[in-house]
Amino acid sequence: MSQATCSVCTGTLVQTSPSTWECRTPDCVGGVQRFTCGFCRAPSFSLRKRSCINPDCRTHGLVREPCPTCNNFSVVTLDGISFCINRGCPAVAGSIGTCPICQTKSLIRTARYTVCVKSTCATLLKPVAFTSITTSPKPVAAPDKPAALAQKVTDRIAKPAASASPDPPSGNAAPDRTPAGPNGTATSKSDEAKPSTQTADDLDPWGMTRGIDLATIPQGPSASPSSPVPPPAAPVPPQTSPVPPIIAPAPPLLPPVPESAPASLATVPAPPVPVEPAPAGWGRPVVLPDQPPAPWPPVTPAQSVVSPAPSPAAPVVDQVASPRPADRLPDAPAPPPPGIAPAPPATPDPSAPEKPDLAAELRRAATASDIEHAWEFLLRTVLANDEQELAPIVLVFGLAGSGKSTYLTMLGEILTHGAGKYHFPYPGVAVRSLHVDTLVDEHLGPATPAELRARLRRRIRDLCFDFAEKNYNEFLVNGAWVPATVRETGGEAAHSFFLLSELIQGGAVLGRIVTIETSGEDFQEVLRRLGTTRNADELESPLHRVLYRLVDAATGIAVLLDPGSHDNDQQYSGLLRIIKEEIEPRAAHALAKTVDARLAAGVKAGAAATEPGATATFAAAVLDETERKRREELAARERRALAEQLREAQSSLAATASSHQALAAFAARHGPFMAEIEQLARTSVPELAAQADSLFAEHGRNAGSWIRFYQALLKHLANREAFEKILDLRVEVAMGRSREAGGLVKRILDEQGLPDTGQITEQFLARWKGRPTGRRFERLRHLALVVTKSDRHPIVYPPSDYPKFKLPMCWTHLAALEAYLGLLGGGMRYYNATAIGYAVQRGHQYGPGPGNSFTPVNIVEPLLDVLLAEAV
Amino acid sequence: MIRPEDFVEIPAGPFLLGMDYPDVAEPLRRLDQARCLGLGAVLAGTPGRWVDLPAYAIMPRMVTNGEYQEFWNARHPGDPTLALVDDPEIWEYVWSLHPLDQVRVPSPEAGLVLTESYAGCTSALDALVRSHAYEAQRQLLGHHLPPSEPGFDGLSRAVVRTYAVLRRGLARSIWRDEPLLDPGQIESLAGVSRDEVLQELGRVVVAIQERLPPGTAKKVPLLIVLDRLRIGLEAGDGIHLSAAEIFRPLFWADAAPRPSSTRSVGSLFSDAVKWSDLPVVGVSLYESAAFAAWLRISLGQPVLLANEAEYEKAFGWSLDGGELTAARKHIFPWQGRSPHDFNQWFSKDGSSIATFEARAKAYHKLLDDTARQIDGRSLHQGLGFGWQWTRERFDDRERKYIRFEHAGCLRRQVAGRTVFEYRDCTDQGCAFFAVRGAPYQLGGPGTVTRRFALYPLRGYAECGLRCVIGAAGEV
Repeated sequence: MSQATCSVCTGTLVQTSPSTWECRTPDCVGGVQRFTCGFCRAPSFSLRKRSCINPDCRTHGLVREPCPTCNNFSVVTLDGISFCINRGCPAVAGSIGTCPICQTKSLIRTARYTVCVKSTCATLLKPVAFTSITTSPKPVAAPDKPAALAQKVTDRIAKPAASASPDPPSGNAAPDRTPAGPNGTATSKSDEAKPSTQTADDLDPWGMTRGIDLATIPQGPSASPSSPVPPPAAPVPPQTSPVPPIIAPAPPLLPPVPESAPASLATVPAPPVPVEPAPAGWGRPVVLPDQPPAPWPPVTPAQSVVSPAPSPAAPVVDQVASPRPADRLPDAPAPPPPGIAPAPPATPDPSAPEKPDLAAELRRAATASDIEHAWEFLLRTVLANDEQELAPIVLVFGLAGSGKSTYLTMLGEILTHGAGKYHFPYPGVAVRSLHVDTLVDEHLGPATPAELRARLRRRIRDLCFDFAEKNYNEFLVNGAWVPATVRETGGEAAHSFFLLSELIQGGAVLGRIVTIETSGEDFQEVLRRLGTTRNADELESPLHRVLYRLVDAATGIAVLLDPGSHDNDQQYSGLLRIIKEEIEPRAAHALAKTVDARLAAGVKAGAAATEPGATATFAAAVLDETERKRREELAARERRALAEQLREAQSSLAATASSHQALAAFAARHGPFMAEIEQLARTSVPELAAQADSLFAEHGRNAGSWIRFYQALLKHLANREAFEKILDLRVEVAMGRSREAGGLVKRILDEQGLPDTGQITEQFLARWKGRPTGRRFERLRHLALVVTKSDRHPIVYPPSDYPKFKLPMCWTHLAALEAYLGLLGGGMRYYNATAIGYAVQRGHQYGPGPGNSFTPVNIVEPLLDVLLAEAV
Repeated sequence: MIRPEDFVEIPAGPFLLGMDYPDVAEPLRRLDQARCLGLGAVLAGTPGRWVDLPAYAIMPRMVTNGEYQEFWNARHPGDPTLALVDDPEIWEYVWSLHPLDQVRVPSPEAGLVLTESYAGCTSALDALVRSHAYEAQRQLLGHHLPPSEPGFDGLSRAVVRTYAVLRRGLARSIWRDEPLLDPGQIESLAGVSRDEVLQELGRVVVAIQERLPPGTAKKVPLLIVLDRLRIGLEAGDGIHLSAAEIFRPLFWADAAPRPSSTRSVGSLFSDAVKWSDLPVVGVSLYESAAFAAWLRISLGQPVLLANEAEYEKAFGWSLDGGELTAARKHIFPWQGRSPHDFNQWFSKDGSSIATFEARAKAYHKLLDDTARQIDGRSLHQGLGFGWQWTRERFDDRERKYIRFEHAGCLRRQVAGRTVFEYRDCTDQGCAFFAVRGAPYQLGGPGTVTRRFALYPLRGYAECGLRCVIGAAGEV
């Protein structure tokens, strides 16, 4: 009998028949009995959960009930319609058509939509309404069946591990347990990924209560110590007032409020700033070797790579408080709040050898491997500037056979020769040699022991003038490919090493290319563990730990795809899913900041968002659907608040004497409130204005008149009908702002050319003003999919279509990922690349032609596009 | 049959060879940047240089299987019992046009770069045989043994003897007079029976096959030729062989129109393009030059293979007149008629040229869509249908057309521009020959400026030929 590993408990699965398996763990959440899933072909369909429990399966979590006709677990419910997805089932035999995407006869037509059930199709189980595939005009969505609902179902399928399973947990299943990853290691959805506590923003995602209970809300940009939180401000008055306010003395008592924006928003920086700012500090002048290096802050041993891992309970880095926290060294001390002077560096003795701490630490860390030493050294020296900020790191990532070594060789060759030999559209950009010995002298001092120096030397090589030059002259120019990198087995030879290069432009460091040359098998292992391991120290191999940290620290990742491999989709879909989930909160937060900024500047939602056609978009649909709920919540809160404010105002007014001092004291406390309800009352009770006019005409504009007017106003509001009217108006004003913000979401996405996937809108709604909680890929802003060997394998053109046709599982994550990276100031790029342009058949194999016939395409672009984007 | 009037005439005059990226039409540059095509990388090796060319006429399409077959089956005018390609004169002629001396060939198997010597060869056929012997040695032994070295043992002896048999068998096609066998070959062939030769040939073939990945043997030229040698030895007298049988195009099953290639056959009821209408591929430079020589005799015209500039001018230079500006240069033959780039036509969705060849209508539409129009006539197959041999050598020491910067390069001033006289690269120190055009599958876009270099003694599945009639062909 065959055995396999349970996706949930990592226990043993024993095959009991060709299609059935049993989990040997008695209390396994997935139940004992399993079937082979028809979609992922893994023994992961749980009879207990009636769904596939493989997190990488595209139907993960989708409940499949038994079909009475074909007797398979194949009846699913999508958008309220249940149907059998077994193409062989007689019940659906008459409603199957050809899918326009995968060209397979797998399109099932239901009452309202069609859906493809081919496991490899990019649109698997995504309901497609008839309106979108026919030309006849039909209503976009009936009110009771909004597009949002269908999208939610689709999203649930598309991001199986991110969303909770739709079916309730059965038996002793723990609702927060997550199925195991591909390696069988059980994981749990930690609080890092999802906020576990309900914040004020969760209750009030639109921030309508910010003027009331700011103290409970996570601090945004306006809440930093340098810009103190303003006192609770009055709710927004109506933007236009047809009649001048009756209460003349009130305005001087009110804080200056920008029109159409609440006071709390007035402190948000001015728009438009749709993306996070580019990193600063890497355009600094080149440090010449004869210049003394800057004092080096001491490294905290407990946080070093060569020492025990950082505590998982480390505080979450707040993107808002520090504009570029992700660009800081992981172990570097957090910057002091603005306005507070930073602590002096701990290198006061100029006679002492410079940076002795790092050298000593590297020497002391006897248990760490060479490769970890090298990483630590690079992290603390080459990659960090004087402010302990990390340089942009672009990692070249590729599985075995993807052509990494050849790619890196040509990359170094092009960087070395530049426009003199190749196409190099980066004027002024040059490469500077980085010798390990020079770096050691510069950063550790000339007295560095030879043994440590040698260990670093064997693990750090110059990309251009060492690695690439040697490989180019030894192999490529002689018609041979660069040999595949040998996997390290612990012997003396160092087959894995860092490749380093420094790009300069106009005398300043543009960026440093740091990547690692290692076997594709190592990348594959790390790729497999990325989804299930939340701490690099859990990995056994030092090389894998370093690779893991490098992936986590990368600003950009260039993923090399071998078009001849059939495993790409399976291998990378997990990585893309994890990245998507991890950066989702950051992206939503970045969007919220932009919306905030625009609202503060009084930028209205664009016409595009409010045009009739625009209302059919998913963003609008989600907003409509949630508006009712939000309105109810808001009305309940406002009712309590209004009643309380009225009571307080009445009691204060009752104790107020008819004097200017007493009136001023009353206005200081209740002025904004009274001004607001006066304006609201004007629109709802026209006779009130007449009463006020006659009052002031009779008694003059003195304190007594004002007090009498206030009494009349409050008395009027004591009437239930008037109270409800004012409450409605007040809620309406607040909801107007909400709608405006919702329109802005759509507009910002439109402006940046980002797809409105629905997920970003949902994330935005859920996390607006929330704190970004993602802890991994904190610096990641760029992702490049580089399809290599395009001279030997049929390409897909344009390359952005490659995932659609060749990576259907990855494709389900890419639209959202593209939007997220765009919101974070980066983006997603696609390239068809070739290192040499054309490989000629020689005997039974293909090889490079003469050196000067090479036409490398898209070799430097994936990296330099990132570095330049970061440098701008 | 090819007729002189089918050739498309290109008038004399200067044109822009190569292209600088900033001179590319703005819409194409925008497309390039939006889709990361890599146009700049492709153009980088061929910056714009104004060069002068005399008038010439170029074939409107690549040479087809049918046309090439006509040449290969042609009989000798003086001896109808003899195939034209068995006449040593034609091979001596093409060898005199493109002699080789030494070739440095990489041997990835051995991690070496080996030098092949063709100094003693008197004809292209002799060089072809020697080239195969060198390759067999590389494959089996990892190094070269001088063919004259006596006293081989084991496999090396079998290799030397096998190719000595081949050389002796083709002697009537290689030499006009008596065979010029090496002493070592004479020694190794002494007293050897046909059965022994076939036995050793079998050993060599098996040994080579063992070194190849499974399923690749049928595509390896070395084994294809050895298999033809076996058939020739078994069928004939065991001594004399026909060049027509041994060195016919690689993917022809035999001289009759029954191709074994992946290219479609076509039939009476098939919708596929007829095999005879598809470009011939798998012919070496010398076999291509031999075709041009035959055409020269048949048409009575100075026919040659095209050179690089002739190809590029025909497919990339607007003949509508006007000033000498880069705007008249097109990097795609269809530029001006269609906004598409290379990959919009070729290899767009992961398909191969075979998908077009299987449907004649689609194939002919592709031909028309990608053709260049000159005076109402169409020049077909400029890009995407395969590399095309040129008569020029590829100088691997040159990058970015630095040859024009040499003081010895003749030049004149035309309309304020320096126009260089274009001369074929014939430096015998350069062993590779330039090819133009582009195969269907290519890294980056194919452009009319794009060059590649191929070893001239082999046929390639993605390389055909095209001829010109011009002053350079006059002897």
